[in-house]
Amino acid sequence: MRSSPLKLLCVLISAAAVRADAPANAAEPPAPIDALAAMTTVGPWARQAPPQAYGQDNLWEYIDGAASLFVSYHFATMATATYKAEGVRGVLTVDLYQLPDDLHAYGLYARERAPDVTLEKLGAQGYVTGPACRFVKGRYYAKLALAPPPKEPREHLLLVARDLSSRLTGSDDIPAVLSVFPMHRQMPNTAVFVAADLLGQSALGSGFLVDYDLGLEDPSRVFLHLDATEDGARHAFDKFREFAARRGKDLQPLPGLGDEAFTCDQPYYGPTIVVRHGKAMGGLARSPDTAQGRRLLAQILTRLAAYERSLAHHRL
Amino acid sequence: MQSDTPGRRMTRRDFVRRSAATAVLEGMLAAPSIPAAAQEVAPPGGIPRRRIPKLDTDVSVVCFGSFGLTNPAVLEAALDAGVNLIDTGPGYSEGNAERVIGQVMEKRRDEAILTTKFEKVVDGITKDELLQQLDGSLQRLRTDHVDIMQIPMADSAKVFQVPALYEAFAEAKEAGKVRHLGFSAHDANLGDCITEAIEHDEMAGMVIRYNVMQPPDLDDRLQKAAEAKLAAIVMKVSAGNRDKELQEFAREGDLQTAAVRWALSNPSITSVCCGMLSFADVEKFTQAVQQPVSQADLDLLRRYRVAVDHVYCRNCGTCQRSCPHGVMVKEITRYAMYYRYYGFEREAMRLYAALKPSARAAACTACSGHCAGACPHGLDTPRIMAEAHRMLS
Repeated sequence: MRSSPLKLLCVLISAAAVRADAPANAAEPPAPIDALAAMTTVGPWARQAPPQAYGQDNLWEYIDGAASLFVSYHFATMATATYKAEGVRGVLTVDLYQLPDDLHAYGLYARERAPDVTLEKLGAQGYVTGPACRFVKGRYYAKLALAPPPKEPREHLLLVARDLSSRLTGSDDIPAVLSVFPMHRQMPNTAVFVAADLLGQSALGSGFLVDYDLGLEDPSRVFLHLDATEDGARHAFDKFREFAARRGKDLQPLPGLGDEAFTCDQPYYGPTIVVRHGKAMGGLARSPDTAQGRRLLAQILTRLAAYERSLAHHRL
Repeated sequence: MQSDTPGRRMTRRDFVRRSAATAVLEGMLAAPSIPAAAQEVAPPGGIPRRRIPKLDTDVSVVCFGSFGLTNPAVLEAALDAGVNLIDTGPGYSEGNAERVIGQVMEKRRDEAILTTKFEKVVDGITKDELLQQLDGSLQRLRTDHVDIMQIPMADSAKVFQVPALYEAFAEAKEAGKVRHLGFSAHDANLGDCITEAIEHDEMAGMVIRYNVMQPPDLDDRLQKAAEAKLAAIVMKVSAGNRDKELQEFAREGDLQTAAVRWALSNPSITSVCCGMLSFADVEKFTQAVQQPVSQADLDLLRRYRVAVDHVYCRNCGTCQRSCPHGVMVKEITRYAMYYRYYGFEREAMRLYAALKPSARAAACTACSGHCAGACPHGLDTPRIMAEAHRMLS
């Protein structure tokens, strides 16, 4: 039976979180509703009414169809509150989501991050875009929005966001597992953690997607699924190979990369390299050529091994 | 929502036992009828299509639901399979779903009918702000026009009366950026929204929740909408979120596809919006709609409905309105559900404690039960409140 990749990731991230921010994580993280209940005023901004809480079953009442994405990341609970400042146009809405772990919080945040944003020093990562501000910190994902926007929303948003961030416990670093993806040629703000159906493959479950500019018109896309067991990774690899054989063409084994690998031509992604090594299974879709793709994947596998060694060392 | 023992979570055995106990009730519930087949085009071996009258276009009876979409290849596979209706919104991953769709629309725009939503339509919003929202969507979708631009989360007739909406629409239509308006809604005042939308010729369609748990009068409203040439694209056809309790059903058949076929047995419905995030989803839903609803589907859905009927709160708020003490019945019911079904015991208790003391169900212990019989769906509200208070306190 396959074991849950989520479990493995939780172990990896928990260990990473302990290393990165042990004192903060020792405290019980406040529930979103408690965090917002305590935040009655921030500078000129005063809360208008007690915060409201939503759960998995009724989030759609608040954010309509977008709720499905949050549910797929297993969000535990969220709270929302509105703030008003005298003499400033607009109402500031603060939404605070709590996720099961740092990786899911980052994943959800990254799924909603536009590729062209400029990052701010805020939580583990955050940004302001127009009348909106987003940040992730530990298990929290916060969304702030001013509507209708005042002339200069940025300072207002950052003021409230930083205050909120200071009230939340959790790591101020993004999950360390993301370091397995080399930065060279990595396209900004494209590293995401997907909670299910990685690359449209149900058998892969959760995993990472990262885009690289490897000289093609469209970005090349790395995908990486970390399973809890080698059998699980093998199963995912076999399923992907079946899919590639059924939908694609030119399926060829690729010796010398990981424990097993193949190349194929996929109908929607073109040349693709798929590899499994131990409990990891991934690949490069839209690979410019086999040699270049292979180099990138080999680099990722090496970094992954180093990352896992560092976790094992930490556990000792 | 009821529990045999307060504070104890429902086990599978409890669930099966309860299902058996409600078999009597099952007999009282009429199976959904299978009306005469809707007027539709059915290409051989392909996905049937139904008309959106005001667009004068036939669309696939399965609509590509895009929330959470990360992979443009999945959308391409759906188009290849014959899906030609795509529903999205700027709020889906903050515009990233639109961006992914845009990667495909850039090459295949003429193969699809595309619907998206304004970010917000509120009182006081200006025409320019709405046009800006539309332009944002067009830019992300890499297209020069959308077919239906929806009012998101319509929850009252008022939202249809925002003047800027029609000013923005007229200007955008003139510029060829949008063909028609529409709206999306869940349950709140859905009837009023449909009635109001019928009055506006600009409205071509609606995206609404529709499933076996909803009141039968919704079908009458949908029929009226269809007569007024307002297309109904329905979502959330699988009611509820109780997968853990419904493992028994999973062995008997696929609830999702049964629910999709059931929804399509209503000729007033144009298309069913199905979230398609994987190639497997595309295959499942595109194949499912090539068969009519079967007796096995109906039996499965009927058993499902019976099993969840006594625990499925429709969030209509009737119980809360009947309470003279201001007890937050809707919220407390939900917190009890977190405790019992989702395993969020501590969270549920904390949420309950965060309510104002007067809003908690403590008042119910000494109350004669004004809410008794208030629930139009037969939920035993006084008992639910008493149990919730014991469990959550």
